[in-house]
Parts: sequence; C-alpha cells; structure tokens
Amino acid sequence: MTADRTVKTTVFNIQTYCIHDGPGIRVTVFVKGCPLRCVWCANPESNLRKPQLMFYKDKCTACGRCVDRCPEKAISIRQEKDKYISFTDRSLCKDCGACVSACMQEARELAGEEMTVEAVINRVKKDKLFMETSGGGMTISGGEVLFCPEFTENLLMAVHEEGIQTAVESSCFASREVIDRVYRHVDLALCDIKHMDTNLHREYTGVPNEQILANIRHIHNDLQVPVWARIPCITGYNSDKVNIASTARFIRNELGTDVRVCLLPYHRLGESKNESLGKDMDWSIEIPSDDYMQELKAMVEGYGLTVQVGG
Amino acid sequence: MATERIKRMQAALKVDSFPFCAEKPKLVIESWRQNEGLPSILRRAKATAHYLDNRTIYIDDDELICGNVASKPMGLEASCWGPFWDDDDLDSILEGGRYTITDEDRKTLRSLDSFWEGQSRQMYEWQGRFYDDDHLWPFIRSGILCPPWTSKVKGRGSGGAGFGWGLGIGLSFFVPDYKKIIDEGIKARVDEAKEELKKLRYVDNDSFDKADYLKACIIALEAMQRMYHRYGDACTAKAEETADETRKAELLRMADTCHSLAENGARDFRDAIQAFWFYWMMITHGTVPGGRFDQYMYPYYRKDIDSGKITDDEVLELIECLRIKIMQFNFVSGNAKQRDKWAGMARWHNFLIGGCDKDGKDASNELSYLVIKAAYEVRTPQFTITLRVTEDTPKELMMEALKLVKTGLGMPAFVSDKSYINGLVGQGVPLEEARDYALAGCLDLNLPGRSRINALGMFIVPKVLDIVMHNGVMRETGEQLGPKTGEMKDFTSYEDFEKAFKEQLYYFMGMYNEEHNILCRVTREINNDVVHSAFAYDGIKCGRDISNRVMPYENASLMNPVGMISVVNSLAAIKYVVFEKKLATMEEMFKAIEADWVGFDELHKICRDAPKFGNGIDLVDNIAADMYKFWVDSCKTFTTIYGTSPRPTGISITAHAPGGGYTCATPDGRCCGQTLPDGVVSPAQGTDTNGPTASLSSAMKIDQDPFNAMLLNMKIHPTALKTDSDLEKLGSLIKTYMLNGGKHIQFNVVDNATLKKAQEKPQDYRDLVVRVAGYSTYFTLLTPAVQNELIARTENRLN
Repeated sequence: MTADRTVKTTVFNIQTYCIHDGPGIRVTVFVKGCPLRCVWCANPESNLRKPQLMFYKDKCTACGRCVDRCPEKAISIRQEKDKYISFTDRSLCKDCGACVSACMQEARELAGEEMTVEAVINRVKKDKLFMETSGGGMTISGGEVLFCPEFTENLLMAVHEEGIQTAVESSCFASREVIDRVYRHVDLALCDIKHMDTNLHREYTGVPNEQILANIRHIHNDLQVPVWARIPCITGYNSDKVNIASTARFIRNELGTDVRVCLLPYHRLGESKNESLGKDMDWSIEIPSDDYMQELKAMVEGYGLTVQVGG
Repeated sequence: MATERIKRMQAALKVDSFPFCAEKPKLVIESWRQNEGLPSILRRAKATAHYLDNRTIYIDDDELICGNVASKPMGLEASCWGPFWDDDDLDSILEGGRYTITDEDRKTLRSLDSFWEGQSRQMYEWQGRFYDDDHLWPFIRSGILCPPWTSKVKGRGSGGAGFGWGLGIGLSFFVPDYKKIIDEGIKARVDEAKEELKKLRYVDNDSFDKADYLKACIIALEAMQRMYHRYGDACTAKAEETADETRKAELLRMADTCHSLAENGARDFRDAIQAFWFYWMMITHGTVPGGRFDQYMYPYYRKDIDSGKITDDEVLELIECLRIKIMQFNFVSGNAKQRDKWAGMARWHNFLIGGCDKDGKDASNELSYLVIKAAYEVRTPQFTITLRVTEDTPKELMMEALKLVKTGLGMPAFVSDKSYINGLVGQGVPLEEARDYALAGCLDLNLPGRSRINALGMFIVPKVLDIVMHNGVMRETGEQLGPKTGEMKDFTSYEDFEKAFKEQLYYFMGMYNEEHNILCRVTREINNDVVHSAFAYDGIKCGRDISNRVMPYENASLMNPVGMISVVNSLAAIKYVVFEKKLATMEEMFKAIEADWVGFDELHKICRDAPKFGNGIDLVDNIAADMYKFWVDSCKTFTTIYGTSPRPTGISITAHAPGGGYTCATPDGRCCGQTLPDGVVSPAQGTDTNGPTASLSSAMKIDQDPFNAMLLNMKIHPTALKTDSDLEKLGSLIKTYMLNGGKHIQFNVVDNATLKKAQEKPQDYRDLVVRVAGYSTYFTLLTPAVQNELIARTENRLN
C-alpha cells in the first residue's frame, strides 16, 4: 500500500532545525485542530481546524488599509489606551485573510494553510541530508495529529517511502482504531501525560485520561513502538510532586524503564498568541524555576527512569 | 584554569588606549635618506636592517615569549611611507581618547612629512598614474570598488598606524612556511644566500637582479640575527636585576633561546614558539595568519612531552602567552572610509587546527585541543581559530570547538577540507600539496610559502545593478559609465534583463581586473620584501622577490563580489513580481526604485515578500547558483600580470556596510543606503525565515569549490546551545554542510538584548566579543552601522 499524497489538512507551521523534540535534527509539521482545550496551551492557534486570523497590535499603525479591504466589514479603527489600532470583530470575521495582504506592517497573519501530503513532503525532503547525518527525522505535532488521522497516516507512510524516520507527538486521545492505523508507521512515539487524576485531567483539558493512558500502554506494550513520555510541568496544575511521582510510577510499572521521560517546564509563548487571536485570557502561570525542575528530575530518576528537562 | 601569570598579563592588556609611535618611521626614513640611488630591493633591506638594529627593545614582566611590538607598550608605530595624517585628521582620530600621541612624537612625524613631498611611496599615488580620465578613473570614482576614490592625489587617504618590524609587502594575504622557518632558522637562509652569491656569474640579464636580491637577503636576515641576539642580551640583563629565582631562571632560559635562534633552528617547543613570534612580527600587519599551528608545532610538542621536558600545562600557558602577545599588536587605517570598512580595527590572524594530513587522514592531535583550550581560558578576540573539518574530524574535537563557540567568542570558524581541496585540485594543484592548504585573512586560501595574494578589492555588485537599471548611466553623476543595455521599461522578459545585467557585470569585471593588475604591479615596484621572499618556496635560489615571480600556486589577484545576494534577491523579485505574477510592470519597478519606495508602499511590500535566498526556494537559489557560476566563468577569461587568471573569492569583511551606504534602493525591497547582505552566501539580514537548515540548503546549491573563500555567517541564540545534545546537533549540522558543498561557516552566539544593552552602555560591555566577518572583535569598537547590522541578522532560535 502506498501513501495517498493528495490528502489534505490545515498545517500551521513547518519548523526546521528542531533539536529539542526527539533525536537528531528534525523537521516538525504542526497540524491544526485539537479536541483538547488545555488551559496552558502553548499553541492556541492550533485549536481550530480552519485557518485563523492573528493580529499583533504592537505592529499596527492604524493606517486603515485593512478596514477598506475587509469584505465582511468586520474591521474598524478604535482607540486603545493612548494609541489607535485596527479592531477586528471576531463574530463577523470569516478568517478569509484579505486584511493580511492589505497590511504593510505585518501586523496581521493567517495561521494555517491547507496543504496536501505531497506539499508537506516536498518541504520535509529538503532537509533530508541534515536528518540523515544527525539521526533525526520528521515529527508530526499539533494541534492533535490523531484528529486528522487520514492525513497523518498518509504523511507518515509517505515519509517512510522517502526513507526518513518518523515521530508523532500526541495527546493520544483517540479511538483504538485510529491508534492502530497511525502508530504502525511511527518510529518514535512522543506521548503527553498531562495528569494522572482523571477528574483534574477533565477539568484542565476538557477530556478524561483513561483512554489516553490505555492508548499509551497499547502503543508501548502491544505495538512495541519506542515511547518518550512528555510531561508538561504547569505550576498550580500538574507539577506538584504528588502528581509527578504518580506519573513516574505509571511509566515504570505499566510501561517500562526504557521509556525516556521529558519534563517540559511551562513557557509563556502561548500568552501573547492568545492575545493575538483576540482571546481574553487574563491569567498568568508562574514559570517553574530551574531548581524545581532539577528536583523533579531527581525524583523521577529515583524510579529508575531516564529523564531530561526540556524537549 | 589560567595560571596567575596569565591572569596578570591579561589584566595588563589594555584594550582601550593605544599610543601612536614615531620610532619606526623616523628610523626607516633616516636610512632611506642615506641610501638614495640604490635599487629598491637593497634600499628597503637596508632600511629594515637599520630599524632592527636601532629599535627600542624591552622585556615585559611575566612574559615567556619576548619581542615587543612597538617602542611603547600597546603602541602603534606610524606608517613609514608618506605623510602621516594631517592635523585635522589626526585630531579627529584622537577624539574619544582611544588613541593618544605625545607632543614629541607628533613633532617628529610632522618633521618627516616634508621628506615625502613629491616623492611619496604611498601605493595610491603609483596607482593613480594609471587611472586615465577616459578609462579607469570614472570606474575608480564610482564606488563599484569600495571605497570610491575622491581624488587621484589623495587616493583612499594616507597614513595608518600599527605595523610589524619589517617593511611588508602591502596589504597582502600570505601564509609563511612556518615549518621551514622554525625547523631551519634564519641563518640557514643567510648561508644559502651567501652560497648562491658565490656561485653567481654575471652572464645574463637576470643575474644582476639576482645579485642585488641575494645581497638584500643577507643584509636584512643578518640584521634579524643581530636583533635576536639583542633580545637574548636584554633577557640576561633583566635576569640580573631580578631577585626572584624562578623568574631569573625563566629569563635565562629565554636568553638562551634567543641566542640560539639567531644561529640555529628550534631545538624544542619553547624555541619553536619564540621563533614563530619573531618571524610573525617581522612580517605582520592586519592580515598575517598563523598557518597550521597544530601541525608544524607538533613534532616539538611530541618530543618534549615524551622526554618529560615540558608538560601539557606548560604548553597551554605558552599558547595563552601567545594569545596575549598577539593582542599587543594593533592596526588602524589612516582613511576614515577605510576605517569604516575595517570596523573595529579589524585584524585577521587566523590559526588553523585539524584537517587532514598529506595522506588524507585526520591530522588533529593534542595541540588542536590545547589551542582551543587556550582560547577558552584567554578569551581575547585574537588570535582567531579555524577548524578544518573532514569526514574524520573526531566528535570530541567538534564538541570542544562548539563549547568554545558557545562562549560567544565567535570562534572557531569551520571550513571544509573537501571543498578547499577540491577547489585546489580543480586548479591543477597536486593532491598532496592541496591537503596542506592554510588560510590567510579571514578565509583566503594559500599554500604555505607557495602562494600570495596581492589584490583583493571589494566589488559592490548592487552598484552595477543600479547602472543596469539606468541603461549604463551612473545616476549620481549622469555619466555613461557602462554600455547601453536598454531602458528598464523596454525589457519584455526576465531573461533579457538578466542578460543585460551580465553584460554590464562582465564589462566592469574587466576594469576590476585591470585595477588589480595595477595593484599587483605597484606591489612589485614598491613593496618588495626579502623577509617574506627568502623563506618562500625556493625563495633564495630563485633569486627573485615574492611579488616578482610566478608562485607554484598563483593566486595574486582575487575577484570578490560583495552584496551579490542582494542582486540575486533583486533579480528574483523582478522575475517573480514582474514576469511571473505580473504584480507590477518594469516601469513601475523603475519608478519605485527611483523614489526609494516612497509612495510605492504596496509594491515595496510585494518585493520584500518575494522569494529570498536562504530559504531553500529553487526560484531564487537557482539564480544565485547561476550568478556565482557566471562570476567564476568570467574570472577565467581575464589574465593577471602573472599570466594566470584571477581567482574568484567570496568575503565581504565589513564592506557591505559602507558599500550599502552609497548604493541606491534595490528591487529586493532594500532601501537606499541600507547595509548589504554580509558574507557571500549568508542570507540577507532577517530574510532567512525558514531556519538554519534552509539557509544552508540554499548555500549548498552554489558550486563553492572554485572559490578561494565563501563566507557564511550564522548568528545563533544561546538558548539553542544549552546542552551537550544541542552542541552535538549543531556539530552534525556543520558536518553535513561541510561534506555537501559548503566551504565555511561561523557563528555569533549572542542575544539581541545583550547587543542593544552594549550599544547603550558601551563602557559596561567592553569585553563583549562578536564575530563580524572572518574576524572577532570587541562589539563596542565597531561602528554603529556594523553594530546595527549584527543586531538585524536573524537569530536562529530553538524550537
């Protein structure tokens, strides 16, 4: 069976020289659309499957070009604090991108572009030399890659056809059938474990964790795909020692000590992105200190696991 | 950890105050006056000898390698050839207090001025003789070569300060055969010259020149021997007045070394490093390299370590002493524009490590690591280090090199053995010789003792593009400078426009070649130098000065396209915007360029967004590959005074800043006066938005092998280099580039916040080292334009 390279999805970024999420030098393909709504989401522009308008108000000079260009009449000039900026009424905006090409200041951007497997492969292939010599490969991330399984499956197959290694970064929130379809083409599974308590998991992400944990067991134990467990450490949500210890126990007891653990300290990149998407998120999470991350690392290592902080 | 001695020496190294000194011009002119009528080669040898015999020498506290640079500590000896700066110029240079001069020295220099009236030996006056009004002069004035001349009388300006002990061969790029110099010593060449002279019979025309040459060699080299002895005596004298027994012993050992080097080759590692310094000072100016230091020094290291005569720590301390010693040598140009071009008192003292041996095997050794370690401990911008990378370069060596990169010192640079050696073999150099290549200047290829570069002008390619867009007219002056290749609005296809550009480019390259031939010829006339020549390949027996002979590897003239990437992006913009997407007409493009984009906001944005080199986009990368190939092919059609073709090269030093400063807007969206892309395969500042692999992929599409150098700068954010795994991946990135067509890469590891702070508070950031273009320097010594450009370069962040 060969890959169908005409399958499409919305891709919001293809990032090269990724050195922090898997072995070697990698190209990471970010797809749009995610069934989870983690409160700390670092890539809020990936939530919806359709392209989304992003607006950086610091760059806006209120020249008004976008106002004239918008077919939905969704944009107006407004005063905000001591300066004028263009304001987009999100209830009218259809994310068509007309204002993006009108803007001279690069204050407007459309996150996401419909791409075929073929188009993605063509970009990924350009870095093949670098991936080969460094032992790297392609990673698909999101959004949630299992939310567009047909695209993911065909992209993975196509990447293998090109002789490039694959990794998938996922929440593992999907049906068993989807897992089976996708993971037979995966060389390395980067699986997120966000919380061990299913009620808190539901509260922070919108979904429970039973299916997720079962899928990770299945991927590792039945499909025998190498797994890196990725634990985002979010102050006040899941980075307390009780939860991290319980996560470490799950990994050791139900998966195995061959699973590498990545402790990912929270970063603030998502906050400005939220703002540019017109989302009002008035909270700030404290970034865990280096010392605290080292404490967690030592603790998890106490379970006989290999641990790294970051990527 | 550096030793207490090294710490004291480093503290004594003042990097913000340099006195101008008048001793060298005074002594040189004294001798010059006494020897009127002698052939240039003898007159120069006598002047060299007179200076060496009478110059002030002293031994600094703590030093293990002796040989003071100038008559005053941290001093810059003024130029010998022609009037020093006039008072206005001098006062403006002294402003700010970085440079100083005593009243007495100022008076001495003024008294020498009159001597040069009407008989200056400044190169530019000789050049100016050949700049005919109806031919070369408009070209020289146009700024296509940076910097433009404003007057035949003043040329590029006068003066300059900071020279070595010899008279030099002008601004040249030359890698001495250090192995021969250190192994065999000075006297071996004196003896050889005497032997040759004995055998000489006056039976043909050349024999007269040869006699003068050999006598000149003996005069200058014997003076070197005498000076080595003088240093020996100075060490002994200092030992006598030293109470500390350890230091006394050191000084006596140094005295023994100096006396021995006057008569013999080096006996051990200490001798060898002292011999290196003496000879280096004899030939040095801003671009004198250290060659393959870990190779020619290794036999001494091995022997001394094996016999227990020296330890690794002692070797390390000696290399650190050399790093500090080299920082006592400085250079500043007399011309303000030239000072801009060489921002931050640019110097290139390139020491190579690693690479392959003559059999093609990995040549790295313990000294390679010690050289890196010395730079890690003594973080001065000089000397600079370049690691020759082969397939077999050990991973450990790459890691040590990258740990040094991580400090932000901007070194080592990485060069590809594969590309350099391929390039040489492609030019007919035997493989074994090619494998021993070394670099002078930042990256310029030479074979030790077997080649020298005398001409390396900065050709500002975007100036030519502007002339093409104006049908051969230089718009600033209205002169018809080039051929008439058509009005912009009349071009109906991209191919026609590209053809017109190539026609103009070739026309001006022809003039460039002529200008280089003039430079080579003038160098031959006025800058002959037996100190260089005697130690070159077959240097005594051939009986000729190094600039008056065809070298085994002939690369006297290098043709260097600065800002080519801006032209490539401009051609891509015209192709994409006008002819493919039809978003504008040629006429609109022309008007927008004329208006410096004012009133053409939309077209400006379209052009800025057009495909740019460095993102792995075929449309523009193919244009780059084609333009560089055209450059190479064109070079092959010209001839130098040595009968060979000029060689293509690709370095910009910092000429992209002043060159961009007087270049009008370009179709790539660049505004009038904006700095050009640095380097030669570096993407334009801030346009490589697809990350480092994409920018390297673009560069790999260019056939770099035929180029003498091909500079690629990459500024990398410290967060991308946090862990050993990050460094390993960067190492793998470098190796991939090096083994697949890349020639060179260097990194700046600093964040923009730091650079901006350094601009605001230079006094707090005096030690911030950055890599500019083949050389590292203190950030605060750079001109604001170059500082801004560094900040503008894309930061490659972690993902």
